[in-house]
Amino acid sequence: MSDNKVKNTNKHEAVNEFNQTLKGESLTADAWKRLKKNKMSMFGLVMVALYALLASLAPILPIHAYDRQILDHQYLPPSLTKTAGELMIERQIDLIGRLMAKEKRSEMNEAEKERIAQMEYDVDHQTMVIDGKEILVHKMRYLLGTDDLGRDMLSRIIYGGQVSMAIGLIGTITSVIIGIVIGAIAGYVGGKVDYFISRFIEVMYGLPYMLLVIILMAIFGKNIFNLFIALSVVSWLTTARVMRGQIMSLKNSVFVEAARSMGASPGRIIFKHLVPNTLGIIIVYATLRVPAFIMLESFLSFLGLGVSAPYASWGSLIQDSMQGMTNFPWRLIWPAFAMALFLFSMNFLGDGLRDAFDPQSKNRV
Amino acid sequence: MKKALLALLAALMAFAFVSCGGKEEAAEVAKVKEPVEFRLNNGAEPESLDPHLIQGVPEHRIYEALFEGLIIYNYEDASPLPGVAESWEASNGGTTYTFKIRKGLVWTDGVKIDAHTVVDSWIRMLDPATGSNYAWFPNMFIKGAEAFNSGEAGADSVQIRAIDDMTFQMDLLGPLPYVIGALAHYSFGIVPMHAIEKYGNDWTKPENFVGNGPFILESWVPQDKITVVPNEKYWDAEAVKLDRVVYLPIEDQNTSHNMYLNGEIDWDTTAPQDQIEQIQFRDDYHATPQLGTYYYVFQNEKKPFDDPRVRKALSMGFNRKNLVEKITKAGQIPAYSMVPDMAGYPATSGNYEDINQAKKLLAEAGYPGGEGFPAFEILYNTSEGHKKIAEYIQSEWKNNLGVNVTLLNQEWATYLSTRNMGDFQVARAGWIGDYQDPNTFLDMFISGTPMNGGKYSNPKYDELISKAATMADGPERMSVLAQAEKIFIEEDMGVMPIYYYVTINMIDLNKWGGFSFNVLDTHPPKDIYLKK
Repeated sequence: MSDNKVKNTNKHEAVNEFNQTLKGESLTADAWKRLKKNKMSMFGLVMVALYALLASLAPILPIHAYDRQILDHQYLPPSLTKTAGELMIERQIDLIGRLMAKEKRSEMNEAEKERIAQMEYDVDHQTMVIDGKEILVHKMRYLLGTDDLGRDMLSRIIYGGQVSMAIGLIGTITSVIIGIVIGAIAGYVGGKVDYFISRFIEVMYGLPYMLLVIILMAIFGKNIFNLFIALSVVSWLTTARVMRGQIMSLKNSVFVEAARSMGASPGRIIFKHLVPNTLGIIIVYATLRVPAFIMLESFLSFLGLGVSAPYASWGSLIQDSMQGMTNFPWRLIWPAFAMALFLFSMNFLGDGLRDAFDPQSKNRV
Repeated sequence: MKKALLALLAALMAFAFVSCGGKEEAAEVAKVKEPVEFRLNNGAEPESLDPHLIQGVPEHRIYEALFEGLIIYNYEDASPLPGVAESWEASNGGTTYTFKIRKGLVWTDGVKIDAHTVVDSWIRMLDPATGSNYAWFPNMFIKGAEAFNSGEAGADSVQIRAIDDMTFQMDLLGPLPYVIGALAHYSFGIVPMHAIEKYGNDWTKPENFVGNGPFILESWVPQDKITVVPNEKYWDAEAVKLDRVVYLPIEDQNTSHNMYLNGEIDWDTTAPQDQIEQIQFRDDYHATPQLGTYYYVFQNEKKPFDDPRVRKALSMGFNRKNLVEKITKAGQIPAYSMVPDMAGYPATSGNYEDINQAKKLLAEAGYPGGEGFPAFEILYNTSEGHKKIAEYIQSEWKNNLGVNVTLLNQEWATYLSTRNMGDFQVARAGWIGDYQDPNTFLDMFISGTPMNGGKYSNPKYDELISKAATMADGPERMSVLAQAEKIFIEEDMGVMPIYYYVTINMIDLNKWGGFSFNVLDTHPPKDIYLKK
């Protein structure tokens, strides 16, 4: 300890009241340090990164095509060990068993035995040309089972994740950008402009959010692009309000005064001085918006207004699985699980970021 | 003390026991008197209850309860039975029919029904101001109806008349042999003109409702349920056994199936495709052939569907056998022509699947390998079943022909209006025969009928259909109809038949009687009763 006094002879270095060196740390570096200590957030971050990686690498992953229908492979349950052919035969035997129970006999008749034999032969010999290669089609494996048209659930979930995450991301970015611009203008300019923008936001708040999206979709047609627009158009309101409040509390600070006295234009003041100072809050807010968007898209898909076939999103996968939920539970469970895990991760991450960026946070180190 | 407590306990128990027994007995008595409620899934919210403004199967089911025309259906085989008409006879070589109206008929508000009611009702149906989508149907039968309906002539031109209060007469376009069966259809329904004049469009509201069927409207909660109760003033009121019929507009097959399994509905008019493999082993599952065709309509006026080669290519470009065996699964039959198998009718062979030929046709039309083919939409009404079929066809077209399609679903009423207006490219459609004759599958495609949303138009076809309408029953007439269908399907591919319907009904016939399966899938609630 006594060394400190010797060390801190340089008067340009910042020292505390014990004359210890203080190393300056940026807000982000500080936040990152705090974030790293939060285990749940780190878990969230890793999961989100993993999802993003899987979704972006989907085309080169060794998975089946998400839109290839093999009608013989309808409703196969998930299996790590059995091939499609084995599962098909198992189900046929089960169906024949039901028929036997109904007709009260204990043995298969000739036609049924023949059908099984034929299936066994087909499993070993039937081929199909996929991506230019001829393969034994019934030797394929489906780790997460198949859906009602014989499409691979695993690849549909991954490709569905692409759509869902893209909607979350693009929706958030557009809504945040619109929100920042409008909120900043309202907050900085004040007066009549602020009054009209605020009233406009309040009116928009008053309208039923979901209904507005549905109406927009109905007017402009049902495709992914319009879905993005419809979602962003109605969801910038909160960002704008948060932004407006932040700017108002900052606009009388000394550094703004300084910039103004040096002749900076309002545009420069807003976007060079004010907005960067509010970014922490915006980042946190945006992270928490992503899951909200994904939920919203899922909800729309669930109503049949989301992405259209053969594309899938997590929401539309869940919607498709509702029929026959009791007979084919894997069609519901896997997409629901994938979506829930992502939403949890995203929320943990958002929570961690909020704590990390909050100067008054209890978790401060 | 203990003993006293025990005694008290015993006394309490005995009392409880006795009172329980009493309750059970009371329940027994109540059971006998308990009203018999028959609940069914009607599949969709009806467009309207006005017989002149409806066009779908869900509406037909309700019509059968609330109204009665000259003729009604026999529940067993859908053959015609006398309804408002007591008897009838044909004259003039089968082109004039004279009906005796049943005596003492009244509307539910007590107003009398006579031959004038029938005349006024039919005139309203045909009146262009009514704007009925189904007016083309009577047009195909009654002399002078079309001229009035298209606004070319006055109501006087319609050859229907009341000879006296109890005798109604109509002149037909020709000796149409199937006319009596067709009269059971709702477009020949009779309506309470006095109530319509009084309430305008609101006359179908429960508080204003006036009908003449075996049941009367009790309540109508849109998107929730419609309930009907027996009409005491109905002429055959004694035959009506149910105390209430509840129509539930459930679009989701899975929901309705679960409700059926839970005993919340007694008759499910459909079953989820996903589960048919399992359900088919149940005793209350009934799949019976139906006089109906599931098909896709091309918008014949819009590019590129104005080219018959494109229509043919699309029709040849997917596998129907796979579709019925692996997707619909209930024993549907692949359809290559519009008219299902019918006795005495020489079937059209249609255009079978041939992917190479389809590719060739597409190339000839200017889209080799699907290149440059504009992306288009398949329109269907919201239902998992239709969606699955559309998804299958979408993938088949893409793989076989390189044509890109997107799917668009709409709620039933919206879908119907979109389809009738022709505001689509390819739309799903289904047609259940209105009577047992090939004509019912063909006459709606003549140029300009409101049901012809695909705007198919071929003067040769129109001529043949009109010619058949003037011919007497027999093989010659059938061959003229077949010739027309050949032009319509084989040459022009005006629509794309997919499969012939099988009706799926889930109902416990050990519990319910008066219910039987027929090719028109018509089940008048008048005849249904609870087996004791």
